[in-house]
Amino acid sequence: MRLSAETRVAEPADLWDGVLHVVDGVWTHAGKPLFVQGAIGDAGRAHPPKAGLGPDPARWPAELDAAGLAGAVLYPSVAHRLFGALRGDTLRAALARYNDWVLPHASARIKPLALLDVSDPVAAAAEVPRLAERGAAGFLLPMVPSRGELGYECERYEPLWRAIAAAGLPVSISAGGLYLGEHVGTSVTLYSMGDDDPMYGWIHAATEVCAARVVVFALVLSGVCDKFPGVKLCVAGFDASWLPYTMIRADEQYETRPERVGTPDKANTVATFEQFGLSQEREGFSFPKGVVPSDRMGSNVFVTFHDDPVAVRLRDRIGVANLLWGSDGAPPPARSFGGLADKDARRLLADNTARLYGFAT
Amino acid sequence: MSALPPVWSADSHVVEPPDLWSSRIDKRFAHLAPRVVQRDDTDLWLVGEGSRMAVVGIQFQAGLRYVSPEAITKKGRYEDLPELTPEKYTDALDEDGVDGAVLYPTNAGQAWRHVKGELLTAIARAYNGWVLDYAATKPGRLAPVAMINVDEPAEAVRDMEDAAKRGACAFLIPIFPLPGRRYDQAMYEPIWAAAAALRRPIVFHVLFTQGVLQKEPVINLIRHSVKETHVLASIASILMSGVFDRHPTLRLGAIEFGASWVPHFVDRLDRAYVAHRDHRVVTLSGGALPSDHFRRNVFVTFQDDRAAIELRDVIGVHNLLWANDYPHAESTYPRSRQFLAEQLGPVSEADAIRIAGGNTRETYGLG
Repeated sequence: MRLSAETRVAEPADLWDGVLHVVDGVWTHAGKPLFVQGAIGDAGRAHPPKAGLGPDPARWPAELDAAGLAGAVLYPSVAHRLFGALRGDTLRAALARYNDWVLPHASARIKPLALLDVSDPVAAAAEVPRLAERGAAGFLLPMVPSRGELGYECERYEPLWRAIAAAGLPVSISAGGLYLGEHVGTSVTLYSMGDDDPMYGWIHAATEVCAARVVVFALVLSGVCDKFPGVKLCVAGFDASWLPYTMIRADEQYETRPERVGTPDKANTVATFEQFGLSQEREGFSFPKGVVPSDRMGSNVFVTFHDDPVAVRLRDRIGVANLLWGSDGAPPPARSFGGLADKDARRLLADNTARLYGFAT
Repeated sequence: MSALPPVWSADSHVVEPPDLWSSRIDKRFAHLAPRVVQRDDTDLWLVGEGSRMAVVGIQFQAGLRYVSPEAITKKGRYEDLPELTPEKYTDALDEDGVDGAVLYPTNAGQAWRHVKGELLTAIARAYNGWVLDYAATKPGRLAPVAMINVDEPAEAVRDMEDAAKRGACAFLIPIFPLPGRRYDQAMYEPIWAAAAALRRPIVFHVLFTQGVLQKEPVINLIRHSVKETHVLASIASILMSGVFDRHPTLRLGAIEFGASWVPHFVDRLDRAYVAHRDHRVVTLSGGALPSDHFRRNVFVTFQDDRAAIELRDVIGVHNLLWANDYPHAESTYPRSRQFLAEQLGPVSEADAIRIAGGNTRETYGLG
């Protein structure tokens, strides 16, 4: 049995009539292409991502059968782009259209994620149980909470984590829900790049995963995973071989520079937070003795992959239980799965996804 | 592997003495030069009109991580620190079981975030004069890296040539150049050409960058855990603009970022390069992929990165350079040989020789 932890669904062209339009095969908003720079991005994948399921929900069971899948977790192909393109009521209305379209088709085989605007964490928290009741198998959040806002490490998001833990459903972030200018940690050098800069997409493809790392660090190093152990984060769209470095780097920083867990001494620091334009500073989290950040990544962070032989090689380091195969319609690739023991293959191809999303096995 | 081969650290640091710039900088810039001031119970480096350039404590706390990590602090007074003379430096290397070290700055590189133009050039030249003299007293054990201001590439080339003549083994440039510029721009071609001709690598070191960070996580530890973003962006712009096609012998180093980020990075670029042919900035010659250029031209340093050791066939075993980061708080000193032995235990003797020191000697041209 195979279960896909990340299958993209092609949204109908008329889903966002009045807001988004397909012009010459390109999704546009306010006359501008939704996929900036046309083709490169989403961690090097095609734009929009290759959809494993088409726009007609009636055909989804047959399409799953054709792909050899017993079930799939549904991610959008386009809708997550709205996080970077729209704001406020317009964004919420557009997300609602996606949720209204996909959630009624939740079933034992189809597990759709609901998209959640988090600009008001209290409102988002209130939305969580309502979306769960309507069939959401999890919640897809923007990679950066809102353009110009602070990251998920801030205390203002705690109501959201509390609600998600109570719902017992995972949250996801996905490649593609980000504009380059929103990268946390990038510099004004990059900000100065225009959409027509030929290097734009290549740098985006090379560095977008760093924004995913920031979200992982935000949840782990701020103590969210300790305060709310039920919060499980699934990172989709980047494959998985980025995670070992993330684990190693976090442990190294935590263990060798413990003073960085605290807030910088403002009288004795080079990089003041005012210099970085930050409106606040927050202490990091001190784990219980003997626990390091990678332990929490092992218990709370999951990654999808389509074809990533390096990640499969490092599965013991990542955690065999944390690797979830996803399908765009193609079968499991031989270069990733060739030679893998049946027991591990079964976990990557079905068991892990079943456990995280509640598929029957 | 039964015994460790000769060990060289590809990334260690000097601690600049407080009078370095007051005694050496071009007199025109004396009033703006890096200087040490006391603030309450700590010393600080200031530069220019009074920008805080660096702190003192953290830079000389090697070994504390093992005995009292809670004592690691940015606070420190020069008068409390032992002077790190070349003799004391090599004594520490002996204690650490390390045969030699490539020397990067501790404080000088912080100047990039605060000043530019002629002042920055003057700071770099004064630093280079000092570190080249410093290392020259211990030939065969200490190898200095020169700091190069790239604001004016023609002038940078002259400084590179001068530093090479005087013994510099590599050229340290900022991870990002001035805001609004990027290394894929043609103005930097003379720098790549000069480094290739001089047979010395260009190196990017963590935290040494000109582009000012803008929006960052509010937790200090997170900020410092994602510093690789900058070097990934710069290396991508260099790789994808064909710099290594035009300068096939140029070597480029990513210093103190660890190494296991490499396989995912090159895989992303390869996939995008293959999938988005129409959007290529250049098509690499001979059917090469970005990963081919990375493996040929880019090296990385690490202290403790066992995933990278496991993936040495993907990264390129000749591109993996171990480092001890002495005397900074993160340093593996005085347990470097233990770290190396644990990491290199599973690898072949030939690979261990390369990673422990052979690659460093080869890459930096140390004979």
